Amino acid sequence: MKIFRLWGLILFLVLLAVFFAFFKFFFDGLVKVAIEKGGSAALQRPVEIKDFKSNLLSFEFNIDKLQIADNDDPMKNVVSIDKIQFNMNQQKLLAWKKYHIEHMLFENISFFTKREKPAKIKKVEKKETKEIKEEKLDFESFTQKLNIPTAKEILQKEQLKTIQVAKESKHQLKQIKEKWERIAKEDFPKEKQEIKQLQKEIKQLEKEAKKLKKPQDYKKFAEKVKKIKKEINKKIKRIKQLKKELEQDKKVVTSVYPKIKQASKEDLQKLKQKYSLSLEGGLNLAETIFGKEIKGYLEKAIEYYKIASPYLKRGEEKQTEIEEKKFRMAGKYVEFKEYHPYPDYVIQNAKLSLNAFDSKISGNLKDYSDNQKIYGKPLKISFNSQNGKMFKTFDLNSVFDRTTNTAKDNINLKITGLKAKDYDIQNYIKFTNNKMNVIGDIKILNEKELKGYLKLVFSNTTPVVLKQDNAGKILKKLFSNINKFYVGIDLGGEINSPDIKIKSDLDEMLSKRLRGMVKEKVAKLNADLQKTINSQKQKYLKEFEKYQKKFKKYESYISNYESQYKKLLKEATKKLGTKKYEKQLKEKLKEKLKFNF
Amino acid sequence: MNPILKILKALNSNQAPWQISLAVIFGMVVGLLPFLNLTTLFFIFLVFIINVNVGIFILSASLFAVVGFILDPVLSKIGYLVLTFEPLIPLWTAIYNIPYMKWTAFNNTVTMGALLISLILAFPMFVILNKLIEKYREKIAWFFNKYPILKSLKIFTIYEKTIGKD
Repeated sequence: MKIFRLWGLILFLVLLAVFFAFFKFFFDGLVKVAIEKGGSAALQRPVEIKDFKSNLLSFEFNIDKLQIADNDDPMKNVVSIDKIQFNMNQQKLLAWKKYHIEHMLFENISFFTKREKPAKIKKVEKKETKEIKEEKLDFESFTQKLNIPTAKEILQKEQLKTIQVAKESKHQLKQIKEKWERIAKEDFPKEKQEIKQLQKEIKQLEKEAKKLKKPQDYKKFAEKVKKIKKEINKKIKRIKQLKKELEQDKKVVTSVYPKIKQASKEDLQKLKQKYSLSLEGGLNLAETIFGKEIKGYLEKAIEYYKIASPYLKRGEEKQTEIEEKKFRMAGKYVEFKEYHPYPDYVIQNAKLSLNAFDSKISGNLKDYSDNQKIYGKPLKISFNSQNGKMFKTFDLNSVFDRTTNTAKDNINLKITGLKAKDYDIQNYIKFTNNKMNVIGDIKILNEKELKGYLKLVFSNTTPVVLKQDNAGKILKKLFSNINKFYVGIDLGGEINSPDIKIKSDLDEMLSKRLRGMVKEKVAKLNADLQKTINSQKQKYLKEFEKYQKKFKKYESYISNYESQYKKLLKEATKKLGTKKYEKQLKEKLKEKLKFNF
Repeated sequence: MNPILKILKALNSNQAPWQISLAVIFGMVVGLLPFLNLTTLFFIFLVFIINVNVGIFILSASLFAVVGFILDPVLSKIGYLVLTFEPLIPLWTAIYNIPYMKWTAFNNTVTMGALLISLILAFPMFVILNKLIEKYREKIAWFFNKYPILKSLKIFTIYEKTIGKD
């Protein structure tokens, strides 16, 4: 029996040929499906290609219209590339299983383009993404802040302590006033008459004193003098009491004056504080206008960076550990040392053309490898263009370096004369005719630490106020002649939780202007308030001064009456002194006794 | 054709026992190997040029593919142990650096495990299967002579012819 069969060899070769023919026939279709399925799985969004063509003899491959759809909008592509063309080094592929591309072409790379047909979007479990909060300007409170009422309006609305104090004192003052008016009207004339009466009585007693003869007369006279003196003392006492009362009432009235003064001071302070503008924190307009967009772009860029990063060092991370197997054809490849190490995947040179800003920007990708430590060269991607439709110069240079243990990535961007789109703030104001220069430098260390900046310098900007209401008027004044400003974005933190800070001199400029406007308004308001409060204060103080004048008058009356009474008492004591008439009586009694004995 | 009938036909054909045994062994190797690579292709090539029973090979490969599906984790572990066995590393490294060898996927843990197990089992299986086939044929010949009804199934035609010739 024959051990070998010749026909078997022939059959094997025939079958092999059939297999290759079949493979060739279906290869392109199979690769197309593999790219679409593999790409969709890797990127978590639908990947489609129009056509895949290969030439297995020359190892040339051609991908037509690669589209990566947007998960949120089936009619939009996140990225689309019209043509990808490359050829592989046959020897490296067949002998060493190394995918080495010497020349590659990416034609018309476009972002966020419209699709002709909707993409079949699978429901993907959405990763928890940080919602970018849109900063909103509270225009209502902002304009309310700027819309300062007049002093008159404020005083109509606000309760002044000055008036309150004055009203509270008014009743007391009225009582005092009425009391003293009554005293002045009723008591003071009486006092006058009583003084006259007492003077008369003293004179009468003086006359009577001359006619004293009998001891009984003396006795009667002494009683009368005593009585009149008692009467005068009583009057003096009453006058003193009145004086005391006047002093007390004067004190009450006098105390109102500083109270009104203090209240008016407090009123002014309070109203100044209430109606002055607090501009703490500023307007933060840059964050409001550009914040969401810039943060959105940066978060997207970081997302793509995170997707792309593993491919830059996949060759380094070949695992030798066996993972739990779930289906056949798995297992792990144990890598051994290569005598002539070389990365598994290399793209030596790729020409890129990017559709951005209505222009075609040509670029270059150099030295992509999945193991830069072996390859010894970092990946470099650059895009450079001049005199585009929407810019003067465009330069993007990036280096992704994994040649050492420390991964160092650097992206440098410079765009000059870029026609930027119009920006508006909540339909209140629109910045048109924007031209800007963009410079930026971003460094990422170890695929983790983020550091860098982006600066957008706007020039030729024309702010147009869209609403002609009160806020609009204020904004028009505020934004007039602002046609140059910058927006700076500081990047820090880590790639998974980037710290994005947006600052702008627009805020500073506006704050300055706003402060000027406010200062002017507040100064006017303060002056008006002071004037109005002072007039209120003066009104009450004038009344008070009237009281004071009257009190002085009353005081002089009382003092006059007091001195007159005292004078009367003195006169009565001097002229009608009882001792004198006692002596006279004694002498008369002695004489009488002499004649009798 | 019914696989059992196919086996019976092969067992009772005029082929020598080694042709069937070797077909089973080749089927085992190809069936246990996890995917198509140069190693698999090499064994398929052997099947074509060595005068073995192709039908039995296909059946054996299908059967061992199922066994392989179950045994893959074990094969992978064995393959891993062999591929990372320190004294053998220079050998694997040398093979790894031979052009085209990467396409054999020898450094795949399942491939190595399957290859190793099937090669270890190959010789004893070959001997045992040969013996079994011989024994089986003796019994069938006796059986065939005893029960003429089975003769009418025409399974044994070739064997009969062979016996007749002998």
